[in-house]
Amino acid sequence: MQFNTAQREIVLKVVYYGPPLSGKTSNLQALHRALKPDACGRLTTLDTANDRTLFFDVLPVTMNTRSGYRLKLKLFTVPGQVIHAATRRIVLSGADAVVFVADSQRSESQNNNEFWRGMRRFLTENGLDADSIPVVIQFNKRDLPNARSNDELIEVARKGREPVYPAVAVRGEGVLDTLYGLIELLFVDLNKRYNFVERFQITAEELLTAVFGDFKGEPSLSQRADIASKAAARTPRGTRP
Amino acid sequence: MTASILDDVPPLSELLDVEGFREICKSFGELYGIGIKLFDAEGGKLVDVRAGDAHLSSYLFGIHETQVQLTSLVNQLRNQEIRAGEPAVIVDDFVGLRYKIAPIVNEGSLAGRVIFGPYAPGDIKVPAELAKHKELDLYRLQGLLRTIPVASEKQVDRILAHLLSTLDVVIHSSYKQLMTSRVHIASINGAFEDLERVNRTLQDANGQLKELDRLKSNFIATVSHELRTPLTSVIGYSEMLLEGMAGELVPEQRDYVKTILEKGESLLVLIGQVLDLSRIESGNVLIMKSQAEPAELVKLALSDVLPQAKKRNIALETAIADGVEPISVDTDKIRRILVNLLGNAVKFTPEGGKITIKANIEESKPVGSDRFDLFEPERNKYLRIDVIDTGIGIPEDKLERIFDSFFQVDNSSTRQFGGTGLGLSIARNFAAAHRGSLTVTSSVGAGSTFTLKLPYVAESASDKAAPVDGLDATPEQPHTTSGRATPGAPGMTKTATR
Repeated sequence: MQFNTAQREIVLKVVYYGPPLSGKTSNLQALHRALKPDACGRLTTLDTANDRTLFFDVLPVTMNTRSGYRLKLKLFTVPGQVIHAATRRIVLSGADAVVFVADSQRSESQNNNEFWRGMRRFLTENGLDADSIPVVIQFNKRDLPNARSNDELIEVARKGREPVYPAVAVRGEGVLDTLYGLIELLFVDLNKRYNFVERFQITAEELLTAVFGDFKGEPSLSQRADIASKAAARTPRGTRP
Repeated sequence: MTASILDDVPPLSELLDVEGFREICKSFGELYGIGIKLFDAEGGKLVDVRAGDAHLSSYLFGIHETQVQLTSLVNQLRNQEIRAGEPAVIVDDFVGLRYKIAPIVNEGSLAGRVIFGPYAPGDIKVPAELAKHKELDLYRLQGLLRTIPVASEKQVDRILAHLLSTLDVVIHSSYKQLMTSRVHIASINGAFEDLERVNRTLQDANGQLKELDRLKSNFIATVSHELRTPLTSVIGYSEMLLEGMAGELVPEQRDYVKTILEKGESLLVLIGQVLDLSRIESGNVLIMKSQAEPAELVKLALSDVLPQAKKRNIALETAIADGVEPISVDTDKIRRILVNLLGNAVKFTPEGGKITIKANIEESKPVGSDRFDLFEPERNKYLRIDVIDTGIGIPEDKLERIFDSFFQVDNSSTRQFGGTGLGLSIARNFAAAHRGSLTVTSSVGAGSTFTLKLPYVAESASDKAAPVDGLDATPEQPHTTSGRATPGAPGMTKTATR
């Protein structure tokens, strides 16, 4: 978090991290299309070659809060290609939260794993605590035929600490839910670290309404599974839910 | 609250080609006849284009009272609070003219302000309160006010929007270029540092490897030549004596020679183990994998210890769970691990005791990791084999040390049980070479349980020599002859997998 006292501006940095072609830029493009236009700034892509990100994309999402602050959420992507590891480390520095965009295709499992470990190491190298920084995992490309099944994702969601969201970023599906879930998680963390709500009088709800309008994010996969199992437990035996 | 080069937004003066932009503002001013001033976020003036108000300003500045009012107006225009993302602020001056102050926004943040004006919002008359300034010629002032262009709010808003969008394009493209070059330089620096680090690690590792290779060669040569050759003679001559080639032996002599032969053979086994250990420590364990039925592995190992168990009236039980699937392992190495575990169990279990060997499939966090593998869940599947005895048990403080080479729980000169103290160390290293683990729990007087865990999927691309996104080629640290593998850590023994 950066705080500019003179301008009463708070800048929060969110990084979309993940293996090559997992859909990080697609996420930002979908957000740029879907978020409220007065909140969403210009999507800047720094240097591209053959439709691949060389450095990073950045999308500022801003709002003037009721308490008189300007709150800016800067959404970055990292370049996925292997040779840009150094740039990934630079983009991750000072991050307040991370969306890990994993590729759902079974063949990409090892790549996901490599980049997950890389992300955690770069976070540590940047002086951030990889275990406590808010992270959500988005399993993108749910529409592809060789994607891991929903049951497998639910199993992953149950085992991990991070909320898991399914998505088809090119169609914009799940993209808003992912960011919505991340902002909720981010505010819990900000509150814990900086006593944010009391100090700045800004709540997650205020930001979410300014950015998403009436949209309410779907719960993460494990939350959905929990809700479903609780509902099933409440249903009397012999009746249909 | 760490900031990176990406979070540092440069001031307008660095982003804009000020001279070039002054020309743009000048042409705007000439086109519409209205002045334009541009300030950065810190209040520094970047552009000041005056249009038709020059005569009016110098007239007002020449009179003391209006000079004071004019100065206060300039201060107000510079310091008026404006916010990014909000509309332009209107400021009316003391002669009835109007200014508009619009925020300049870069990346969602306030980067500066444009002051547009003065213009007349309609027909204006000199305000009556100016009559108190005796030096002021109201008639002349009225004439000068007529030279100021009249513009409706709508017109001004359109002109301002046009100016701001031009400014936005110029600022954004400059910002983009600046960030590109900054990241480019930082990335190259970062990549260079990474390469240097990797190079240093490789050089160090290379030096260590060379030294190790030399030591290993020496060691193996010494062991095989200096120990094996004379030992073979000892064993060979003992056999010849026993076969009566040097004449018949009296029973007492025969007993002595038999002892020599037995001890010679066990010494040969020890040398074999030492050689195994040296191979492990120099990272040259060759793992030759093939599909094996866990039940078969257990059966094979049991057959080795069955005679001793029978002799000591120890019951052997097996419990292979249903659905235990075949696993790809080096069957010889796994057999040796199991034989070692079972041999120890027989050795340390009193007569009439029981040894149970169980096998089942277990879901477990990958060895060396404190969490489940989220992206390759197949790597969480393990074959678990437990060897449970009702033996004397191991004191808690000795539990981990039993896997150290040459360690004996009872190392007194009068110890009851034989052995070299190498078996468990080798067994654990063989397990690690499979990316598995060998652990123990025990209770003194009640017995011990040794647990062997072997992964069904041992290999992952991400375990190879490039742990971070393919960049970092930090090699696995080879063992030195004195260094020992960390118990349970994956990759602790360099393996050549065929």
